[in-house]
Amino acid sequence: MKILLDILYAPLYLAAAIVEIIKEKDKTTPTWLKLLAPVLAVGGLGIFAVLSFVQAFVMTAWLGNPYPVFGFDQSPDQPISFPHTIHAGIGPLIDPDTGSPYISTSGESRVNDDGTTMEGLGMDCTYCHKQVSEEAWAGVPPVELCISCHKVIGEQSNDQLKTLRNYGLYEETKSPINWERVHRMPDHVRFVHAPHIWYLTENPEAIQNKPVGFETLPDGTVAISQVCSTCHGDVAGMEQVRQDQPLKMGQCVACHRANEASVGCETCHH
Amino acid sequence: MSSLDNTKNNNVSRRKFMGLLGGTALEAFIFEACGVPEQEYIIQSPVDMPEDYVKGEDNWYATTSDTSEHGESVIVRIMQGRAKKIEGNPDFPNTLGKHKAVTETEIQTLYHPDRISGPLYRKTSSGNHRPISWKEAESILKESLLLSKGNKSIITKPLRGMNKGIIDQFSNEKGLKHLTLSSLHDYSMYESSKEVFGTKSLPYFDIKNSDLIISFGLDFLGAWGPVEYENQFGKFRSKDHRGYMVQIEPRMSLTAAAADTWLCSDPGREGLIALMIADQIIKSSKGNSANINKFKELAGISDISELNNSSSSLDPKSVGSATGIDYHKLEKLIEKIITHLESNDQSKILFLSGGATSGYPNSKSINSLVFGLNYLTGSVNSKGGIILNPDNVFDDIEINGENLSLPTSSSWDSLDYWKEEIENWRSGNQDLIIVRGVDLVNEIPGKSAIIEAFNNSKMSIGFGTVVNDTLERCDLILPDNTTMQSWGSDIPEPRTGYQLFAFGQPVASDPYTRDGSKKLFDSKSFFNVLLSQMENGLSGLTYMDLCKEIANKIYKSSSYNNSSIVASNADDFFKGIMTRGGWWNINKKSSGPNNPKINITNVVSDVKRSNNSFHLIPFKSHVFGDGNSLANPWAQGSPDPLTSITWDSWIEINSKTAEGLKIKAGDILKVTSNSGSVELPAYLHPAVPSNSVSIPIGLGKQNFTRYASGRGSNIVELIDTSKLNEDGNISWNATSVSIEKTKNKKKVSKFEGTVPAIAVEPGVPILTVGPNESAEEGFHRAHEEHLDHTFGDHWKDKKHDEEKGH
Repeated sequence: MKILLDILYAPLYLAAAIVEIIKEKDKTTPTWLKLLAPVLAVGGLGIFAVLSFVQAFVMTAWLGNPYPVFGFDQSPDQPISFPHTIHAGIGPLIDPDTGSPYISTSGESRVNDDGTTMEGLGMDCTYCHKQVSEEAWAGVPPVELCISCHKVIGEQSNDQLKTLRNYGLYEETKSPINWERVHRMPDHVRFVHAPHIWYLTENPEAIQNKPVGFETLPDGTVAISQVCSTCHGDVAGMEQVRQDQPLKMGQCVACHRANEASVGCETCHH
Repeated sequence: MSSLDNTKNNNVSRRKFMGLLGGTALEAFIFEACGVPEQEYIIQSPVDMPEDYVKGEDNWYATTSDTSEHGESVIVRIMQGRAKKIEGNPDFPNTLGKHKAVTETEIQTLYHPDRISGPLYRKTSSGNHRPISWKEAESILKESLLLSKGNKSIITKPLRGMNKGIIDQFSNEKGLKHLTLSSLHDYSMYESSKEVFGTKSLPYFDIKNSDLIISFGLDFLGAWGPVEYENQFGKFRSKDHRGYMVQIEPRMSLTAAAADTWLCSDPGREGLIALMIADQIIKSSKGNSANINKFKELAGISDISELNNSSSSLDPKSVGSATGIDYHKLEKLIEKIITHLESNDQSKILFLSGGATSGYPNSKSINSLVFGLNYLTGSVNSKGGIILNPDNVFDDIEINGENLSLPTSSSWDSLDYWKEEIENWRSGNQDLIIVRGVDLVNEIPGKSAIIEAFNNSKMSIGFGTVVNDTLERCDLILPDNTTMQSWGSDIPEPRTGYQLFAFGQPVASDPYTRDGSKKLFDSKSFFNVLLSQMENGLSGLTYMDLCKEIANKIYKSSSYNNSSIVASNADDFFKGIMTRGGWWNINKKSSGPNNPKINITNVVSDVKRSNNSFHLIPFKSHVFGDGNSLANPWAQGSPDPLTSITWDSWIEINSKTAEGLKIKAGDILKVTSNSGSVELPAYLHPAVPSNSVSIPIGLGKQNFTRYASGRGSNIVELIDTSKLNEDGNISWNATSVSIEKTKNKKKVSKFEGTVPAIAVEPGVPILTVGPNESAEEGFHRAHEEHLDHTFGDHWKDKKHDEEKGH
């Protein structure tokens, strides 16, 4: 660790050494050396700033979500800009942060031709992520499922829908869609969606980041779609999906402790 | 400086250079391996929707089962027109939500890759089949029916209800003879019970409410009976006063394995045990005198000994000696019966017969005697005994001036009748054979003669879903719908003690090719094809119209009141019927036997064998029955419950007998009878009597889809048809065979031995039954062992104290 810090602060040490030389041997110090001192000092500060930023980046990435630089984008662009707002959103598509209609990834406001705010379809998350309550992986739908609606629904001129139809409707252009993964657990972590979903549906008090329009069923449980926000945030309010929660081990362990779930290593690392 | 000098001064030797190069490559490999593969950052949406990856609501529709001979109703899970799963109909009286393993396989019948894709026709018997349209096929069928002046026959499985009515109408109009066939069918039991109890159809056995069941060979937990009997048996065993069951037969069937006591009698001598029971009940003076007089009156005797045609007397010791059963067990049996007769809590004894008992030359006499014992114990038409079935709503209905019969019981033809028929075919007098649902050449003994006779017919037409050995010999092959694609109806046999109809409906859409341009299987309903050929009052009607007509008539009848469906009009009533899978009225019960008769001529039959031969006891597998389901791989793959064998046939032989003959498991044995020989792998089993061997029927078909062709051996080839029973039917258990070990050996695929017995949950003892131990005794022993194991010394001390009287 000391060596690392020495390397990090090496320019400062060098600048300080030169200042000492200037003080002691002012008269005999050559001019080039006198000029070099402020240059090195400024340069050193610049390097210090950069390294401090790197250090801060590493520390934040370690503890939470990293800054979206160096390719660490929490909301990567997708082959098709699928808006969860329109599909899963409920009621008028108003961004709670701005109080205005959501803005699509292409910069268009979610308003109808008559100026009214568009409304979300309110589709249940499990319509597409069907396996979430039964398997480890929530799953993404086959293109055919998208096409089952968008064969008819949606403007023919819409570029995104054109792309989608190319993926799934026409024999000559049919191909799978390679979505950019947004949430990924490290290889040494085994996360299984199903038990988490069932626990949270039966214990709504454990749900975090409750979504807009959260409601409990008469028997005290909640629908599956109400629990996703605990780890994924309000996806129904995202024009482009991003990782909302850090999903670090500390968060997992804290939640497990709060709900008296196992915190043994083998629970996730097996 | 020369280049040579430079080389000399260079500190990096070749060895070091290679080392550095290797190290660099290793580092590159490690760094690359430590990275996350690119595909980890991709989630792929496949183009096509995988099977079952459909979000939507499923629908469950009720229809009748294809594989059941008892008119069982099922419900089918349908997603977007496709059948996904079959379950028993929870509403229907003879299923109560349960279904047999083989019922599951009907899904595979519907989507079978070898299903006949369309009508096939060949002009000459040596020609190849070529696809034709339905229009052409129906025109050929019409011509064949019109032009044929000689004998014409239509062959089906035994039918009841409207199906039988339509066939009768069709046969009468077109001048056809209707023949039925089903291998190893319990004809004798059906006929005897109807005669003994004076009913038109098989009575219902109230197993659940019985206290003591004594079954002579009836495998009601295995290959025979509606699934509801299995359900009932669970209740029989789990009620407060646990029911006790004794099974008497020469083979350990699934029912024998589940019984508290299995008495293994020599084949053909079971009647002596029944006589002994009757004699002992009468002598004990514990029986009701009115019941005894009734029995004697129906049997036309004044003393039991009049029925005894053997040299043995009727005391347990003599009967034990004559039947090969330890007489102590017979004494225990008598004691059990007398105890039940003495009890004051209306204890019920139920005597059942059938299965193996129906396979002897005197099967009708034994069945009649055993069913007659129910009169002795007052078990006829009373709770926990034999519940008689009433006449159904109507025996026939009139539609457009035509009388459509609706018989409540199946009819069948004896082997005598069949022999005569086959002789007709052989003589060249047969103009037309129509066959449906029967693999004729494999289900009746004498394959080569039948093939020759069948080929002599001028025209043969076969209906089926897949090609089998019979269908491939037909000139015209017509693809048949499965029950999931057709309207259907049946009158279950046995009914559950009251008026009952089962109805079926098309529940799944026809499978189409991927591009949706044409049907994968261009099939039609057999009965609709027959109806379309008719020119009488039924002309122009479909099977659905006839179902509606029956429903209308039920709705207008007095039986509708207080029945299973309440509707404001006939249309709603029909919809209600289709929703529930049928109609029933639990208030319409039988008032009692109508002209019953216990006809006993020959209680004891000597089924002979020589010293070096064995009795052959053929049996139907619990899973694949008569073999017509074997086209479905699920039926092939479901293990036989007792041997756990799959995908093959086998011969069951006693372990010690096999040891004496130096036969090991899997050795191929040549089994020879007077009629033929087959080769089968040996399955060694300690519960097989030393004087008999058992083989399942149904396998050994030459051409029966990719899954069943050439698999196993056909035991029907061995059956000795010189010994018929009183009804002129095959005595299935009267064949003796010799066994010869061949040099070949086969590894039979079975589940046995690979899975250790484990408790259903921690702390629950594993039940085992030891030699000469009843299931009840085994249960108590296992319980004791479990307590010893669980509580150790403490339990032993307590027991010790109790024994010492502390």
